[in-house]
Amino acid sequence: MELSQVQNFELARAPIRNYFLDDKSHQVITIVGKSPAEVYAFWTDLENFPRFMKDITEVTRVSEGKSHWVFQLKSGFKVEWDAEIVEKREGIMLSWQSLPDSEVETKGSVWFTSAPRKEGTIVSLSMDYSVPGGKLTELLTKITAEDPNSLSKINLRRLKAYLETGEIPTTEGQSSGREETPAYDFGLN
Amino acid sequence: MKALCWQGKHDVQLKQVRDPAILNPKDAIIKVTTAAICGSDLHLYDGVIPLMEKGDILGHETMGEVVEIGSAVKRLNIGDRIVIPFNIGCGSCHHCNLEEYSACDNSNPNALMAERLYGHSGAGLFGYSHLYGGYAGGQAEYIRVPFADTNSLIIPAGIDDEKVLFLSDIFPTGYMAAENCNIKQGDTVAIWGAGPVGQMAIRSAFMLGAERVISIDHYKGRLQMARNIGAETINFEEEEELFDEIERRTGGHGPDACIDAVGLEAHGNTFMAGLDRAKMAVKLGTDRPNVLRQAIQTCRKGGTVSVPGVYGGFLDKIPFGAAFGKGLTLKMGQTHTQKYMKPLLTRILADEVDPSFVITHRINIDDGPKAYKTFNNEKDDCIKVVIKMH
Repeated sequence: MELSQVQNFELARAPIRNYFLDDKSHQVITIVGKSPAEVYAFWTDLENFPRFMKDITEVTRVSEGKSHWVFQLKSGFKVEWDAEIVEKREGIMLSWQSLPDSEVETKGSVWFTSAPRKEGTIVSLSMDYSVPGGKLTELLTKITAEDPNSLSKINLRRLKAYLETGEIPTTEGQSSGREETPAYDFGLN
Repeated sequence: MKALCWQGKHDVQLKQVRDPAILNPKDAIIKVTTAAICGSDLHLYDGVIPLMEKGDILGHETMGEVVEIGSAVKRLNIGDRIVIPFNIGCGSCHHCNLEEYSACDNSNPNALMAERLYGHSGAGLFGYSHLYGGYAGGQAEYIRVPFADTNSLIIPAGIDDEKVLFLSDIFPTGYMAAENCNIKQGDTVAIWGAGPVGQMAIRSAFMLGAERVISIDHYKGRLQMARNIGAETINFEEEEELFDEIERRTGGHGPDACIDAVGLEAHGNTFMAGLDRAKMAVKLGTDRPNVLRQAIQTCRKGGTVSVPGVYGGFLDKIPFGAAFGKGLTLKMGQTHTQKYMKPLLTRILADEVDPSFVITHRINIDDGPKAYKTFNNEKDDCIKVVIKMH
């Protein structure tokens, strides 16, 4: 289905049942060089999330519209939660929230719109996470050095890179003069 | 392997580090045969480029032999001899498709940091700060090249490293600077800085149809090299007013185009240049844009100011009114190296140009730390240092 931008814009203005749609403070945007149908299909396949989403190690389907998420840092820190789809419009948008009483409260929405000049898809992502009392958010921000908004930006960049190039650029694991190296005296420095 | 590492301001050390490994499917590992120290490495050496970390491997002018390829590399084969561009393009994004490789959307893993500073992030660069991705550079025995099919130029057998090495940066950079001038037959181009990029810009300006090139510097050795390739020269230390001298030489109209091949660490004997130095020393200023001011002031009405010289931050007292008043075109930015490598290789193979004329020093990697010092302190005699690696 190929929608004009005007149609998509109208749809974007139509009220939906859940939050985040108009929460500009959490909205991050990029253009991905693939069609809205392709990006939507990629986003709705749960198996893809660990491929591009930072520190998401596992996503499994629990039942129709419900899924289980595992967030784990290399240091071992791990949280898990269940989430459900709140609203889904084929090829256009998706919104979700964690189930009541989850360890992590997370909610978000993502919209896919045709970009001008056939450059691909404008992906607009709004995402937040917290726990009652806000302690986890603080902790996460502290250990990952990333607030929810930065994390959304990073994840969107990673999605774009993965879909456009098939990999996510990294320097993690490259060599440097910072490592402990075997004693080797060149007698020059 | 041995690598030259940035340890702090005026401190480059030879270190023994781990050999690089394939990290992504489109990576390749290159056994470096020849690398060079770039004038822009001296900005790092002087500590004026932010977000360097102790231990970063330097170097972005590199060539060598492919020794390992990732599972998604299609064009390169083990054994290929390649030149590596200093900027990293993913080869798939909107900008790479337009051959604007230094504006690549995907290659900088630290793009968020650059976005905060510049609004949008440029491409990742080899050995040029964590703002540009923190990729390990090529002043080492081996280097990992991401998106290797895009970031390589295969060199035919039988041509010497030194003739093609500068396709990695300074030749395309000088060429793009001249191309940005929109040179028409008979034009006069003034070029500030007779370092390696300035020299390449002189050659390129002539190739693109300039009738006269005026090269401006204060190092006699560099000015002599510029004269050797056909430029007129001005030693700005010998002139009371550089502007007046350029006016005299251009019939009072100014050059049709001006190139700033100096960038953020300009020297100069004007009051403003002195003020810039003082502000930079006490961290009140990020850049010393004296050359840029002169280029704007001097340029002919309707002319072009082209800036291949590196700038990093916020520039003080730029005569924007003069630029507006004269209807100037300003063009600038990191070079889209990959776009120029092939056509410029063709010119080298046809013996139209041999960029190796800028080389003054050939060293072993063990002498790297000393070479940085020499390059920084003795600009008269030391114009281009190449490191013979394997």
